[in-house]
Amino acid sequence: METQTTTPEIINNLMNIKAYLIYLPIAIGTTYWVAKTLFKNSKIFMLDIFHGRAEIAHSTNRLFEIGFYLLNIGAALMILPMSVIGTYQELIEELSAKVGGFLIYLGVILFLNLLLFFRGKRKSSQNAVAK
Amino acid sequence: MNISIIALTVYVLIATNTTYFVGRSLYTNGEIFLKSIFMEKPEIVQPLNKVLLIGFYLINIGFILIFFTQQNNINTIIQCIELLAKKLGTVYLVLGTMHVFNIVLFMHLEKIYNLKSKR
Repeated sequence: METQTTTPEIINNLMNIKAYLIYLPIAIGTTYWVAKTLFKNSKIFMLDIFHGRAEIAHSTNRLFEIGFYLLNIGAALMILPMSVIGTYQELIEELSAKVGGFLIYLGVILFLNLLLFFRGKRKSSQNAVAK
Repeated sequence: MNISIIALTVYVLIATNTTYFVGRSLYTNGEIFLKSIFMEKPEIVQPLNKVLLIGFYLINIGFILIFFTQQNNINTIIQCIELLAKKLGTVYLVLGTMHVFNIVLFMHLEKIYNLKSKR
């Protein structure tokens, strides 16, 4: 009861703020890590797609990286609102639902990116054969 | 001070800054594509790139400002965070979709042009 009297009026639910403060670093951190790994390895694909023209390959890679960040952080923020949390059990349940949903979304986007790279590689090798 | 004013100020600042940053990167990295497309007319690259950048800014800032309105007034920090997350998330998703669409368009144009010039 004492904690409720000391907290200001605008902070009506401390548990929700805790949940958001745990969720946001996890979501943004995973996005950063996945993007770093994916786009470090995709440079080779890009060089293949553009037949070894390094300048255009690197700029495409950078552009796709920014698009990946925007799509993932946007989705992470959009699914953020949680129902009112009372106990630590509910906190863990809500957090696992949100983090799990976000990780599945991240995986789907990652595989879409990989499919795009493989398709580009196939098409460019087809073009090279046709010439 | 009213908390909804703070929330909307933070929203506009973050959204416009992201638009600026994304537009900048599209400008610097897209120039290489445009150079590759307009190989014979290099003087057209710089103005075209600037016009494209201005178009990108106008569309995005217009969308951010249209999306600025808010239905229910907010009283607590939780509501403030939730409103900000929803608005910024939607803006980022729209920005990201447009960005990826632009890249695919550039790649497509570049490929078409290179095939034509080889024939």
